[in-house]
Amino acid sequence: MKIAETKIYLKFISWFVLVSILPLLILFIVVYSSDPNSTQLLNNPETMRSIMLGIFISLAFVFFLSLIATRFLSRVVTRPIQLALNELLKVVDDLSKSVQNLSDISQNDSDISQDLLLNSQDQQKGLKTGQKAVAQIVKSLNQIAIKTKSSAQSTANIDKLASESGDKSQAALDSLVAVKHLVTENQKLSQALDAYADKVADITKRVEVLADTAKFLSLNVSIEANKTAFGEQFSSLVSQIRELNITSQQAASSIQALVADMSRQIKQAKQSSVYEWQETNKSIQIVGQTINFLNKIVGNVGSIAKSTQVISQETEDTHQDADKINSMILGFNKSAKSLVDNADDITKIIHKQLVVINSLNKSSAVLNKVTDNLNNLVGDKSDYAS
Amino acid sequence: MPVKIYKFTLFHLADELWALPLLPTSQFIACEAITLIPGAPENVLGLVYHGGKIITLLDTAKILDLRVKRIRSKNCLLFDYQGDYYGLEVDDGDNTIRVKQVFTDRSKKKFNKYIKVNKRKVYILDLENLWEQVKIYG
Repeated sequence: MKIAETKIYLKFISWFVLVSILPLLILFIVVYSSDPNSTQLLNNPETMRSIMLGIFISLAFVFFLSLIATRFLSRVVTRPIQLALNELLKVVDDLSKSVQNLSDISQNDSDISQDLLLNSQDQQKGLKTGQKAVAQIVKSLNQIAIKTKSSAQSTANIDKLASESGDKSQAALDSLVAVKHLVTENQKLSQALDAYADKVADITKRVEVLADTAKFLSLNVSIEANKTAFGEQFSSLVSQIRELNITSQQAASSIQALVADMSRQIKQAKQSSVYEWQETNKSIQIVGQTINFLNKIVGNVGSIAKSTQVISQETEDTHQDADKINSMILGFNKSAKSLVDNADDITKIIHKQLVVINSLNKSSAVLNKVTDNLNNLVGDKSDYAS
Repeated sequence: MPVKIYKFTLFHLADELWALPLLPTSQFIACEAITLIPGAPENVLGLVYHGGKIITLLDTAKILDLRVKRIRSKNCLLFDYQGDYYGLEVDDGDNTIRVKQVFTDRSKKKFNKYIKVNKRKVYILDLENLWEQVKIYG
């Protein structure tokens, strides 16, 4: 143990030395004041030496005694303080460790709470985004469902129209077949009329020849009548033959014009009949192809209607799934909100813990300061430990 | 004093009315299936068979220097001359008439004799002028 390093020792020793010097000074002052001549004793070297020796010895005794007293007294005084200080140091150490641990825990809790809060906020944002997305999906699905229903209805109408078109096309085909039959009959009639016209033309030629013959007859009768001396008597006969000739010529011309007109009309009718027959054949082919196309369209429309129904069913199922997802998101949202609330509560608790830790730190600091002061008073721990 | 009567057979050619003196064998016939004769005079169209007779068909329009619109006519005025039969191609025949007077158109060099039918001049195709144009009898 180093006594000089112990402040209390020094204080006590100083105090004792002061206490020891003070009576000597008072003694010198009193002696000097009562007898100023007594100072002359100091002029005596022997006396002065004796006094100084006495003072020195007395101070040495005082110092020695004060040292012993201080040691004894300090032990008496500092022993319980040492014990208390030891306990206090242990408590301070434990408190410091506890505060450190609590601070670490609080820091961890704060980090966790911060992370939890951030995660909760992110989760809440994600849930809001998901909710919006699900709402949009539901909206889109509703629109798809509406349009799918409309498409299904349109498809059904198309199917109905196609079926009706098929029936009507079949009816048109039947009508065209009947028209073709009529046109064929018309062609036969035209051919018969053509043959009849040829016969009439032949007859017309004969009538023409007859008219020519009558003409020549009338002319030649006139000649022959004038060759005889009695030609005037044949004048009425010649006139009648002449009238016959004119009538024959007019009849022949009329018949010829009639036959020409009839032949032209029959020819036109024949051409029209052939054209109608060809066009009817084309129309029948086109209507047949149209019926085939309509049948294919009906088949395709049927498959489209089935597909539309499947799409509608799938859309309905997806709509229900979206509703479920929406409900789940709402549940998640509530959980996230409660999680955020819990995180807020944890944050508040952590704040409170931090306040307590701060107060504990302050208390610990104060305690450390007290301990240091005590240490200063009683010395280092190691000193007492020894 | 008896009045002389002239008899003529009228015919149409190129929108004109002409007259041929009445001959014993005069008659209108239909002349078809004309047979062309190589080396024949230009006014002879060809030969026609009719009723057992071979008829020399004359191009009347060319003889009379007339322009006709049609290509060929089937009307023919038959007559005989010195035992041969001739036919005049005409557009159409007409009546046989009797007239009392024959006129002469001095302004024309050939076929200048005419008769009047309904106050209309009808020139006569006389045989002398005809043979001068056809030049069959030199």
